[in-house]
Amino acid sequence: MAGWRELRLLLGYAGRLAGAGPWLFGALLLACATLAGSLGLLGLSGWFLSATAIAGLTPATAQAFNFFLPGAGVRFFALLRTASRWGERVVSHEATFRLIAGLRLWLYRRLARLSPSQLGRHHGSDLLNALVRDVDALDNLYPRLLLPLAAALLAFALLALLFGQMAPVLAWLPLGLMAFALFVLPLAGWLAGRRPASALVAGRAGLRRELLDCVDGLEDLALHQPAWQVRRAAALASSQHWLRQQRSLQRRGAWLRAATVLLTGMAAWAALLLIAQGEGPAAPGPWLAAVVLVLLGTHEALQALPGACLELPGTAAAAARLEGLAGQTPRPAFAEAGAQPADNRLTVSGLAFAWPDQPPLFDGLVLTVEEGEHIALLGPSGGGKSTLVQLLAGLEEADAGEIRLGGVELSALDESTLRARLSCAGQFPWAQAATLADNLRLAAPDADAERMMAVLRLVGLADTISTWRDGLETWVEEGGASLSGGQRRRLGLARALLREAPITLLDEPTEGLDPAAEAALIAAVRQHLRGRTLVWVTHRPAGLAAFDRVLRLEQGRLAELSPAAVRALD
Amino acid sequence: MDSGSDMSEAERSADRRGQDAAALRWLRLQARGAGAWGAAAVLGGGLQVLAAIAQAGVLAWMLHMLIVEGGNPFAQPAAWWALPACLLARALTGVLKEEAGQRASERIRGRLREALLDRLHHLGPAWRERRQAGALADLLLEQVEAVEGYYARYRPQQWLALLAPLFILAAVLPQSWAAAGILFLTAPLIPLFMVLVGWGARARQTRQLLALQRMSGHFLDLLRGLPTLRLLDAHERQAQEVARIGEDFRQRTMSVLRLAFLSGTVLEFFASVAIALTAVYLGFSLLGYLDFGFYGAAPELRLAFFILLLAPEFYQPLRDLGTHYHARAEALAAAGQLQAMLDAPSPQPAGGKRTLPPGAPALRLSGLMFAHREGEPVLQGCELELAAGEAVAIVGPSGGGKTTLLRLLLGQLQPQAGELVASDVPFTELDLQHWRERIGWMSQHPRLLAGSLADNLRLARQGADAAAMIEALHFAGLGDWLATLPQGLDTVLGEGGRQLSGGQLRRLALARVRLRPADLLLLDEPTASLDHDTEALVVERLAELRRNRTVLLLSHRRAPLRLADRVLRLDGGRLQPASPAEFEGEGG
Repeated sequence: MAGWRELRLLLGYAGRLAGAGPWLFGALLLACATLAGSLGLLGLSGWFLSATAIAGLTPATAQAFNFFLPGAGVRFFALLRTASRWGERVVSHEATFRLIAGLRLWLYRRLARLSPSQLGRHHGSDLLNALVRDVDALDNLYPRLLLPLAAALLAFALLALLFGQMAPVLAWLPLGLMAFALFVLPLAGWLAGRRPASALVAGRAGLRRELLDCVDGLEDLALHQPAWQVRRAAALASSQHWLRQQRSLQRRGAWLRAATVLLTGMAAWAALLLIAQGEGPAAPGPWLAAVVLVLLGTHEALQALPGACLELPGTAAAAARLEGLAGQTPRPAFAEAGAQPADNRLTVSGLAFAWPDQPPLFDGLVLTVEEGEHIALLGPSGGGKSTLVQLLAGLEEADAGEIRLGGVELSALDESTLRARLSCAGQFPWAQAATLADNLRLAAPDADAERMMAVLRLVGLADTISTWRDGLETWVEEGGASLSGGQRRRLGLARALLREAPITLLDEPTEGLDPAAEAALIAAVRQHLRGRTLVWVTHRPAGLAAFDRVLRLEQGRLAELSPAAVRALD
Repeated sequence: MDSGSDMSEAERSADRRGQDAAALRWLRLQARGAGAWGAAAVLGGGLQVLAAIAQAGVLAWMLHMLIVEGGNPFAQPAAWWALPACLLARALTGVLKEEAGQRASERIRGRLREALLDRLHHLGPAWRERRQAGALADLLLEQVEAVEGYYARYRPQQWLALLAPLFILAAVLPQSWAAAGILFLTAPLIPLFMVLVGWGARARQTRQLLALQRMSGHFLDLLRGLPTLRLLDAHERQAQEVARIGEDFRQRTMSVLRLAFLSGTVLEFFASVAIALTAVYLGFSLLGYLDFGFYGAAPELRLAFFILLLAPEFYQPLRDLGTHYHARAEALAAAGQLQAMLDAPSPQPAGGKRTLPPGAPALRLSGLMFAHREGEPVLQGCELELAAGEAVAIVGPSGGGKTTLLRLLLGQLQPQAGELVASDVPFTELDLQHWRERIGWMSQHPRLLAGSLADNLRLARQGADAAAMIEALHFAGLGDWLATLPQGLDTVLGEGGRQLSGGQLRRLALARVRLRPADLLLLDEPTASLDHDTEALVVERLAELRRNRTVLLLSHRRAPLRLADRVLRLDGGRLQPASPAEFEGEGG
């Protein structure tokens, strides 16, 4: 069966629950106590009524009837049910939150080692969004499925023992229900939920794409009514399709729940039939009422299971997707405790790289950057400049060739050493949902306000920020949405400069600036990094004359431009 | 973030209640879209209660026969089928209830999505521009789904929580007024329970679900930032942050939940006490200690059982309501956002009915005033006159209102003062939809749709045939690229398909403009972030396209300016002539 691997992975995740062991066990005990209270209350009440009815037949037996003990029992079970239900909720939530925190931390550490391309950055789709949903699905595994299942099984085992005392044949009824809960429900849920679960994931992705097209393409669609009508119709059709898929899954759940109602009821009916047909002890006593009411009451133990079982294939698929992502071997992988490079000379030899399914960007690239040198790297967009930056920064791994820092290959360094030596601002820097100061402190945890303002002044953000009411303490939205593209780029630049590393790589730092501002920024950054290495990557040829060397990356080759050629660019 | 910090806790909760009431009214209004399915769900639930009453009667009779009379109920054929039939009825009505609820909810969600899409179109790109695309898509996808449980389960259950206890009282009352009294005395507590259940669930919702969402959001944010965090060597420090937030979240949430769970516990407690009280009353009546409540008749075990079996059913719908309550809270949270979009005032002017004759239009803008926010005017008395077929370029600092000017011309924004006139027809009388169909527009950030290359081209002209599309691609310099595509025009682009480089995307936008039967071209930074060669190609092709068309061009860069007959500078909200000398030396 194709799902076996997924199921095994899911069990692997269930194994990770062990961390919250005592809490999980406590929740299970309390869940069992709740069930015992419920079933005890029903059973004892039934027995009590029957016993009083028989005793009430003659005044003598009625007088002799001891109602104190059953009365106390009823009160006890009522309180037990109430108190343990509260306890179960509290403890199982406590356990779940502990699991959630652990799962996230584990996943974060795993993913942090992966390269951006391994994280799916270059597939264009938002893998990470789906990933968070998958984590949420796994969060539900314990409280929704494992806990109620284990409690139900324990309850049925106990009932089988108890019923066996009264009439051995009755023990088969809870055992039958137990088999139903243990085997039939999960299997039926698995089979019934497998196809809709994967169809639902695909349906959601399809609808999201259609909706995103309507939102994203509105600029163009607003100008052309027929095109909008086509997109709108496609999105609505996709929505209807997905809604129908959801209903189909819900309907399967409804039938499973109906089967559970029917089965527990039929177990009670079967108990009556067995005893009436003389399969049990000679005279059915008040205990029969207890047996029947308890069997009916077991519905409570089972009612949450059909829905949870139906989610099982979806949860298993989520586990498989997470494993597929988090289980990758990091490329590049860094040494745990690496060598210390002798100096900060950067040498690249025989470097080859191609993105999957695309022609090679370069093959046999050679480059040496001496310590303290300021070089500009020029080239057309799409020519591989940003890729080269990512390779130099150790974010991606080359197909062949090597990059050495101070004579040591990058992968022989530990990551902290590399980061301390080489600072890099990418083309699309990310900003955390935190204050501006927090965002800057990501680069230098102990930077004070003065130092932060100095570097902001350098990158030309200080004037803007001084007009903000909260200044450095201004809140930056998730993903940096409240900053303009240019502001975010400059924030990235400021962070790279705050690192104060011997080597600084800057990818398109001046995009969106006018020529005067661009020239000023080049001068300021070069002044700040005097004596340290700077690699300045740009597609704009203006204002590069001041650099020690200007290299052009085109068609996979690096060519050094003569000073005359550089001046001619201007 | 801190807008609420000035408010007192009481004010804030009053404010929240007001919002909730409005959101609830809105949710109820939407329920009309469900048609008869909403009622069918309540009917299914009602029938389920009746089946439960019948089942209690049959079971009580069978137990009475076996235990008190020592007979065999299975001697009568009814014993063989009655109970299974009741169970089957219960199971099937349960399916009916769920299915009808789902259908009701499905219809409402479908309609909501349709209304939102139409609203999006009505609000237009100027509104859309100020929002994140991902967040808007989420609104149409996830927030619409957030009302699922409210219509599918909560609303039907709300009726059932009232109806089912009434049915059961009606069944018990003819048998024993005292037992009915015990149930009835706890009945006034039901509204109280509803409030309690609601209060607890509300706290649970706001703390648990929202906190969980926030934690997920934070986690997602961090994962997105991983490459940046690694470059800053901050990823391990952030791992400690993940752990700290998880721990913090657990402690704060649990402190609230411990209390919130009490509300469910109170309901549980009353249900248990009522069952225990009923059992004790019935037992003492059977023993003969109590002789009231059965209308003078001697109580029988059959009757006692019937009542005892129904006692838990009396409270069950309420307990179910409690378990579905989170669906209500979720829907309430979503309703605010959905309503906000559906009720948002459109920035687009309404326009009129007049259309222009074919041919390049002349444009006259006079005294235009516009501000996105009060007190921060972008345009102040902007004047512009364009003859038919003239090309004008506008330069100026970014954020200076150039794009706003284009939006006004597209009829996507309404000026606060001043007038726009196209070939003697004021915009207030112009059929704006028709007007937009005659505009060829090249945006600063061309978009790629997830679809075939042909789909992406038909965005400009839905009826374009293959020959026209291929011609347009060749025109835009994408002919060689097209030749490398095995699937040609059917090649899937965008998410899950082939990605385009920035230069290719821009050329695709150029091909779109080529396909457009336009009389007016609005070009917003047509060559931003392009390399020299691609820019030269784009400018050359645009020079060809501008013939017989009126053109308005915005640019930072020098190269496209040669397309223009005149260059104007937009600064301080006004247009002034700019001398060509200003651009000498500006990098392009």
